[in-house]
Amino acid sequence: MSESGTLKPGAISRRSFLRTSAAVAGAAVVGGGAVNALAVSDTANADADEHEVVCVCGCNCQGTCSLVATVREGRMVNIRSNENIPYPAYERICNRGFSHANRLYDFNRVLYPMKRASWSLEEPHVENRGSDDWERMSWDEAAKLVGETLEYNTQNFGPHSNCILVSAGNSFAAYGGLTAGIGFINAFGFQGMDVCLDYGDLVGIGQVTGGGWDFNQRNMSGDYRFAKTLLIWDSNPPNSEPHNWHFCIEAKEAGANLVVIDPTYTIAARQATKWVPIKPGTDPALGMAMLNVIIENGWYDEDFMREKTCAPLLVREDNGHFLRSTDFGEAGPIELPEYPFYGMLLLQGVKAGKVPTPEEAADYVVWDADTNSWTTINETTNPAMEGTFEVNGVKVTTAWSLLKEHMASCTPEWAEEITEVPVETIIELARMYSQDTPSTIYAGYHLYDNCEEMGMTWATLASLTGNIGKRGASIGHLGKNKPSINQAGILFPAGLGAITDELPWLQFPEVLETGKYKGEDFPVRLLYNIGANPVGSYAAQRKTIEEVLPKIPCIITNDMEFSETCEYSDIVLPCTHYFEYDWIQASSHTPFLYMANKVVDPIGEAKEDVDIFRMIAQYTSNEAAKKFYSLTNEQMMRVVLDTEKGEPWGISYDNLKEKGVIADREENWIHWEDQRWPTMSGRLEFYVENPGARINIGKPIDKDFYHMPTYHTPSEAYDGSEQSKKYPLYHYCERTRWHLHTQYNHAPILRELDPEPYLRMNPVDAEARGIVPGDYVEAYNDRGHCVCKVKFDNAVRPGMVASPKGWHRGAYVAGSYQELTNDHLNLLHQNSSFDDTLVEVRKYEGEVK
Amino acid sequence: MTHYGMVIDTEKCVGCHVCALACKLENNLPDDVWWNRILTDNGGEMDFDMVGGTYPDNLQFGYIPMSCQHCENPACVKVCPVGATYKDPETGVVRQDYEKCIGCRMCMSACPYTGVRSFNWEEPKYHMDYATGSKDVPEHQKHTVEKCTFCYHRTSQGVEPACMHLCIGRARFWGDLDDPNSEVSKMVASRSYKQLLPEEGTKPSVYYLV
Repeated sequence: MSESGTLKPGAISRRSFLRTSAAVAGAAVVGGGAVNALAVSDTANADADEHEVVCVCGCNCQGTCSLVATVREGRMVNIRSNENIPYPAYERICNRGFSHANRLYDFNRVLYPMKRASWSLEEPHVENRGSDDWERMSWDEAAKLVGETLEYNTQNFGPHSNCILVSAGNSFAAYGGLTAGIGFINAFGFQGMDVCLDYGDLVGIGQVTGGGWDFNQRNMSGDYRFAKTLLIWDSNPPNSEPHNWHFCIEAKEAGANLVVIDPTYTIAARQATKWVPIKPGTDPALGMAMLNVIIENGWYDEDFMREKTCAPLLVREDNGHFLRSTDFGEAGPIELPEYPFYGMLLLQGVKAGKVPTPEEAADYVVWDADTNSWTTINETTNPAMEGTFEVNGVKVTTAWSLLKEHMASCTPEWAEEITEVPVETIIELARMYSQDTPSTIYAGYHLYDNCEEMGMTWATLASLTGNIGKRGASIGHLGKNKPSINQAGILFPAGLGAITDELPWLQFPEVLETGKYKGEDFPVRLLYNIGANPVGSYAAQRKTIEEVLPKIPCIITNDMEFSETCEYSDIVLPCTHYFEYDWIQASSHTPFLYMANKVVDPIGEAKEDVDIFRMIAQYTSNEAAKKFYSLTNEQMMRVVLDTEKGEPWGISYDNLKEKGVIADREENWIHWEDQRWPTMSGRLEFYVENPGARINIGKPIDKDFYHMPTYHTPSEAYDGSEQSKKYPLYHYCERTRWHLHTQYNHAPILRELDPEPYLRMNPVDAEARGIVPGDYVEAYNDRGHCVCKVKFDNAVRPGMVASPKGWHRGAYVAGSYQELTNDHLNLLHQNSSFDDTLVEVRKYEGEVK
Repeated sequence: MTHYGMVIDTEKCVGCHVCALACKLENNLPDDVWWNRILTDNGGEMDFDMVGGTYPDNLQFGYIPMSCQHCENPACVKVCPVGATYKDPETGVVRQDYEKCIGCRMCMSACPYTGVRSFNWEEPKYHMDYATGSKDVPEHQKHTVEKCTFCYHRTSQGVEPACMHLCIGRARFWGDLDDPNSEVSKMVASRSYKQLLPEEGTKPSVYYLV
């Protein structure tokens, strides 16, 4: 070890949050105690000039703000939104963006490669995690240790014993950030981990549109301006995606219905034309009743359904699949691939890009209403929309008939019982959505166990009313696909053949417990977190700390900040803030591609992830990986940018470097404007032939249940659940403007305004528990607890309580909100249903330090 | 004559604090000093962001960004014994000269808009060990009163105040209230607005559209 300074570990103290005015230079902290940092002044150069740099925020709210940073004497002193962008309507910055100087130099940066003192490959002493001393290493020592550990595991336990958890803490990026981590996995053939975050309703929508669990669903946000009805559902955009909100308000000013469906009275609800308070977790029932009302009133668009959806396709009674003319051939019915097809997020876009032509999807059998006989889909303009028929001895029914029958019981009265939304409101929502068109569903993440039904319901609403693929009409989550760059070139250096399904985090505990995955031996020797903070960000935190991590002999983390996960790691490597190196922001929420220029030199010994992996590769025997990392960073960026596909938009490395921001989409881009979708039929398939688990984890799902939207309760957060007897309050994690996941926790400028975590309660529930303003309270359930200040807030629905998402556990008097959250594994969507959580709350009588 | 003023559309403000942080950074404000604060209008004394009233039908919630109102008839100017606080005749901006200020805080007690001014009881402290923001802002001094300058260092160079560079809710506007064709004058002429504490007779230059 080059230096064996004793870096005192331990949880970041609550005090450090309450009084954050630590001097910055030399105040890098590794878990509570000051380290003699490389003083910032060492890295500050003597350049007295002031200059500006066009850069991009990479914190992965996906707002991807193009910013102009001012640098004076080598340090960032100011920041503003970049007004010089192709479409001015997308000019943006947020309060968090103004804290970047704080984040760059803040007291919680990781400055050096470090190793936990008592860890070694042979004797890991996992019991000392969180309390061990840290030893500083040189980069060479660190890269050698990591490289040789990965190599040892690969040789003795196979490459998949090295599990790599990549998340977007440093942006999705097209070069850098998440991309760097995925490329590292593929280059070495390690086991990629699936984060189980935010995919729930995506997979429901994707089963209908065929887009898999790709995030790219809605039209570009400028298009909201053209909607006549905007349903803001499960989201509070002014806090979580603030830059989209002015587009929604523009629609309102042009006369649109701006409706917010949310249990909580948010600022979005305040500014909407209508707020629909709803019982938490029941939203799919509301959507299903809207379908029922639309069907009962004939408010659907039959022409759209006939031509653009599966409505006239015939479903076989015997196997539940669409009837194809090839079914009658020698080979018989084809074996259907499952939706979705790939067990990896970044391949969903590949799936979503495969839209069959009508000729490629010509085999579907329909009933010709004119001739009263069967034919194939492209051979008639008048397929029967409804009815049950017999074709060559096979009994079939149109998908539309099946859906009508299926939704018949989902009456507004039924939904009112579940959702506590009045019948007349349900009818009015259905009318607005189907009649005051075009309509857009601006979805948030429905973080309950029935999220896949939410997604399927949204997509079915769009399918019946034609509110998709049009000006002012789209559904789901915001994003855009990126066909004009070559991300695969650096994501998959070993080729697509080397890709295997990722291992879902929620399945991880069982794999660790049994040593088996999908029936095979599966030893896990190492967890490498890249831009990921599973301890802070993932559900059931106490279980993560006490049961999951101790079963893994080596934990490595690349991070810019000393996260909770760093505290429980064995090796911590400092990576750069996104203003400390050149990278490419591809962005999903804007029609742009950006060069994220380096603003200042890295603090301490921080390196960008690609440089870290390049060093590690030298200590392995993988020659192909070494060859990939022999490319310079600029060469890698050129792989992404210098393609023929980008030429129409003027995309090239040189051009992007010169311009900073290039448009790669129309300002108000419409997704699926050609009205064909990447399903097998090219139509919206509100009847899902062959529902499948999001990732194949070797556990069957009840396929019959998932053909069409079907209501089921959340896993615990519903009245009458087993847990509700002990824990009557619904707990959810709200997105505040002060954090982004677990980022920005330490920026002092933000902590002045948002100094400590709290639990928001309706005064009705607080007073019933003898709690008064100013009290500290304990929220608890079987998974854990947290102690923090109470805030009385009438915006919170009685019976609910809310914790701000993101706080470091050290900021709580005890525990963490993340100990409370539900880690239930749903076999279909495999998503973390954070808000599907019940708690009880009591006044905290202990000492508050 | 020029009369700089502000129009803030409270129907669009989302409380994001971009304007507050832009001010904080640009003016290198000391720790815990905020010239531009975002207050919550919840009908009571509840905390920031907390909603007043009764769930679900009678809820009260909104934001009021609040900084020096740059009054046409400023109460603070009248009481300053040394002329440190004064109205700029060229722009109507109420200014504060740190060099002249003797720290008597008369202006703070005379101003009806509580909290827009702050007093540096001690040597100002900063999170960062170097100055942020514009190099043209005057240095903050112990025992002086300070407040929003309407970014005089910027406006005098023809640049908008930092809080006006971009409002993400598109709720903030500034300009010359004496020019009937300015955006702010037109908004004041065509929209309902309120001013804070009109009964004080201070004639604020900040208009809140409602």
